[in-house]
Amino acid sequence: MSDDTHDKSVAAPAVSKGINRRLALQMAGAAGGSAFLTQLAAAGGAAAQTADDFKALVCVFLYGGNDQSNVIIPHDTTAYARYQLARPTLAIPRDDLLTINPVSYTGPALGLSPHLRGIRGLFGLGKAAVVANVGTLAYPVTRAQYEANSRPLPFQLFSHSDQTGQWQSGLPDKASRTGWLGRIGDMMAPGFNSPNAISIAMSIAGNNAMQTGASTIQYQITPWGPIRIDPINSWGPLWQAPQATENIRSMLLRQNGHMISRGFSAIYNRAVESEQKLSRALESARPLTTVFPNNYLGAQARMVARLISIQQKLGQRRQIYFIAAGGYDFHDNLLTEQGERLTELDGAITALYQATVEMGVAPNVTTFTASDFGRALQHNGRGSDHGWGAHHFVVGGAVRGRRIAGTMPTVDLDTDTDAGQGRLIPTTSVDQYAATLARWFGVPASDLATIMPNLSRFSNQNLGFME
Amino acid sequence: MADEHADVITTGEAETAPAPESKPTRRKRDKLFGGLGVTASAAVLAACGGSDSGGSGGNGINNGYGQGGVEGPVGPVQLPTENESARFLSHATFGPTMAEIRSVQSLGFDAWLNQQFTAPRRDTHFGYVTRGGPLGCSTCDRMYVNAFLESLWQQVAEDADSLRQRIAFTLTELFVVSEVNSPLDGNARALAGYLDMLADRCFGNFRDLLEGVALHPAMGHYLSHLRNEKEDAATGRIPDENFAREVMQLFTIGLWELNIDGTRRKSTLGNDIPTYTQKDISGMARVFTGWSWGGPDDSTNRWYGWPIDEVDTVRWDIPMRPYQRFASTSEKRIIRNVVIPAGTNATDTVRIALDTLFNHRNVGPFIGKQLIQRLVTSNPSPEYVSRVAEKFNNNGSGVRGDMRAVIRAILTDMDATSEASMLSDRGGKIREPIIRFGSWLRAFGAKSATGIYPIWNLEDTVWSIGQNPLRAPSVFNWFRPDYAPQGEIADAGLVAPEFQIAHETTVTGWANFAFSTAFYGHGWDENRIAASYAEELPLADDPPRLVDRVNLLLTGRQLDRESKALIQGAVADFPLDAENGRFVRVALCVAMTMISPQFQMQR
Repeated sequence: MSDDTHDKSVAAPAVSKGINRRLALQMAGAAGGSAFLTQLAAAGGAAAQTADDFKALVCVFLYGGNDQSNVIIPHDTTAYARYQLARPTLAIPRDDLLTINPVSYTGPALGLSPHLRGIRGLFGLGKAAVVANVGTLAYPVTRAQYEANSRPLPFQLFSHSDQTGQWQSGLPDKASRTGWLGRIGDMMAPGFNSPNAISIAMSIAGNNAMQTGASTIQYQITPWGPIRIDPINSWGPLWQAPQATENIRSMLLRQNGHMISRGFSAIYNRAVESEQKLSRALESARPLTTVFPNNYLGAQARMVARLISIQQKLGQRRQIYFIAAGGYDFHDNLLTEQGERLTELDGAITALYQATVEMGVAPNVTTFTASDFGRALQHNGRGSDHGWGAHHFVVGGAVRGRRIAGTMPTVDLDTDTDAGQGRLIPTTSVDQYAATLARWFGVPASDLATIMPNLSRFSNQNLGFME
Repeated sequence: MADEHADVITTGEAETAPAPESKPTRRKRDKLFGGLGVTASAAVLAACGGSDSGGSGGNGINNGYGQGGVEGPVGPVQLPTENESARFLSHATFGPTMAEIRSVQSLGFDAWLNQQFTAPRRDTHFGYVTRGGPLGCSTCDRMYVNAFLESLWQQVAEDADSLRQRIAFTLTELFVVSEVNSPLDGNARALAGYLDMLADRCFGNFRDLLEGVALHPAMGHYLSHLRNEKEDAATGRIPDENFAREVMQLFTIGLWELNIDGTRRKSTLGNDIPTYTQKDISGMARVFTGWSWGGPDDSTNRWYGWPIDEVDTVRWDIPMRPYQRFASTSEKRIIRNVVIPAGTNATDTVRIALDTLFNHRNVGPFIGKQLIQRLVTSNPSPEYVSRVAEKFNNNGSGVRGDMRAVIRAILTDMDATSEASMLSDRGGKIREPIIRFGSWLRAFGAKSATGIYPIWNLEDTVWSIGQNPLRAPSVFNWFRPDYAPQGEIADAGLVAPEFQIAHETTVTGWANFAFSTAFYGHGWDENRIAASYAEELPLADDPPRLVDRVNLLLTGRQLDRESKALIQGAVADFPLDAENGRFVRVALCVAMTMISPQFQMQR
């Protein structure tokens, strides 16, 4: 990232004045304003490269809104009967459930979808936790308050685009130009990564709001690595025309004076620069013996593992990844098709964990899931409709596993967490989920409000699922 | 119909649209699959935008809502220049050809549009995929979903109705159905039938277009309202809300109440005003129950798509039909306090709901602005949106929803045609990859030896362009109309939707694709689609003239001095007497123009 980019971002109006001021301090290296930065400077900043100081966060986003009711299911007979009554055509047979035994949990016995064998194994080993009924909240809200419309609510609940945006921005009641992984990147990259390193935020699943920061610009890579621009790399047909090759490079990198063109040209410049660095580093990466599932999500997870394996070469002590799978919007064919997606998810997450064990960095890498929203418990025949709160998984060597963080809701219609049709009113906010992960990643408690500006609206700022 | 928000509106003006016919009458129709739009007032015009192809949707629905005549504004016409014509065609088609530039120059914008509005379709996509090849094919072995893409690209490359091609494609990005993450995966007939419907109705009335979208079985599958059943207290089943939500959020009115200029209306407290609530969605979900496969009867086999007397009941070329016993007959409350009374039959229920949506004052600015964004500029001024929305509300003859008037308003607006709009630092947009490829195809008349267009996998981000027709990742298309890349564009409060799919991988993919395509064509062997550059090869020894021709065809002569110098320098650097020297010079000129900022962006 060039200094030029930094300057522009600092000068630009940011989400809030607080962020802007803090960034300005960080960019200027004004350590006096932050004990955090002073500590970093004392530790030698980015120059000190020690393996145990490395951390990576991996977001697996499930686009479409994963149906949480068929991910974690009551196994207790009475509770299962209520589940089955609410969605008779969608119920997974009780005998098929993979039972789990969470510690410090007193509710009705639970099981996982039969498609989550790997995650169930990691849960039992204490390497995976569940965060129950988490979702977008402007403030904590009860059913009575929701029905009376007496508390501010997230904008446009149940809409894919809006709720995806809010999960990723962490700001459900105002427009935001940054996402919470991006804000974490803004805060951590200057102190932990080499100034010449590629972006702290790498996406293998396209542009996303979550990794967008004020200064953090996400770098996009394919599951097979970065792609080379052929016509400027000794392209066959032009070997007789070296000047042509030079002119092609100039053309790719230039812009026409319009801001859209400047933005486009910036992408080309990053593409050319980063491709060379990354390709070289990946060529020297040690091959992994861990086998990843042979599907697109598996390939994304494999690239994450490969990039983790070269973090030192890349000059990165902090990495933030975004991978994703689509197709979770099961208004139809839920029972037959959600399982295929969950199998992919299970395979990718499990293989990624195994690879971190193989590389000796299991406690340094935390993988977590996110999705547009949960879904209604009540069925529409062959599927379920858009909901709100949902359950998510956190996996890694630093996870306080075999636990259910947050509050597991009663699986039934017309409960005190029912916003109608069994759409869950979240009892844990995205703010709390994100803050717990950010804290582990190294964000000081005093700076959490920069990452999640609404965090103080929620009493518990650490859900306790991380070491 | 009362405006429920009247008490909180602080800005905006009264609706100009005629109220929908409230009496649930049903006019007798000449064919089985007539439309539901029956408020006859305007003269009955030619069916469905002048198409006489007999394709799906073009099956003789009397267009009660009316459309514009073919006449444009009258008065002295100043004919456009070569450059203005090329720019206009970059908005109105998949890209200019030299012949079409000449045509616009001699006719002027309005007369060219009039000609295009009545240009017939040569073939249907459904015809291509059912035959297994182009019209008159001798070996008809084109199969799978590839046949649909071949048909699409053949029409884009060759057919005379080039405006229809662009508008129909644009509508696939507003009313999205997709093969990806979808029950339509691999289904050539479904996609062909759907695109035919859009092509047949795109020059008619928006009300008929909306009905075509709502009742097409491809949409019924994609958003799961085909075979959606009424509520059932015994099993706790409620109707599927998928289409009910998206028909409002994405296809008609959007999430927020709008002024005619596309800006959001505010409540007295200064807040944005949602257009609907979850209760409205529940009501609308019950509206779209009891519809399944089209056909002459409502037998149970047909409902499920099972064969009847060994005849396939799965018909992708006709609209869905009602099956009353599966349709909810309870009272339905939808937006704007409209109540559809208990006992209303399925057809009248959908008609009332579509009329209500169609007459919502958001539709003009909501749809109009997105059409401008797809065709002309990412950031239209509120005045531009207003001018288009006013034409939607009233084409000048009291007709609401006249697509011809809307398209004409968008393409001939001063913000699309004036030099000032071209030079504006807020105008223009990223040319989306599919249109960039189409521009090359058309500008140089690229074709294969067999005449087939096997263009199947444009969406690969590594080897291709990261975008493919009717294969968007979700109903939210490849990009959202409000996407703003971080940095100075977002800082300025502007958007650049196509940036959502622009990143290190896809820009690299484009550069590689542009060079391999310009040099080697697309595809392999006898089906390789290549440009002969017959008109350009004679200019290979005159780089300035070569660059000028390519510049006109691809950018409407928008290359700046530096871009021209870089291309001319590169072309001159390649020895003319080398093997294929002429060809390499031309291909290099084309490829470099395709990676120039003036082509990747359109102004």
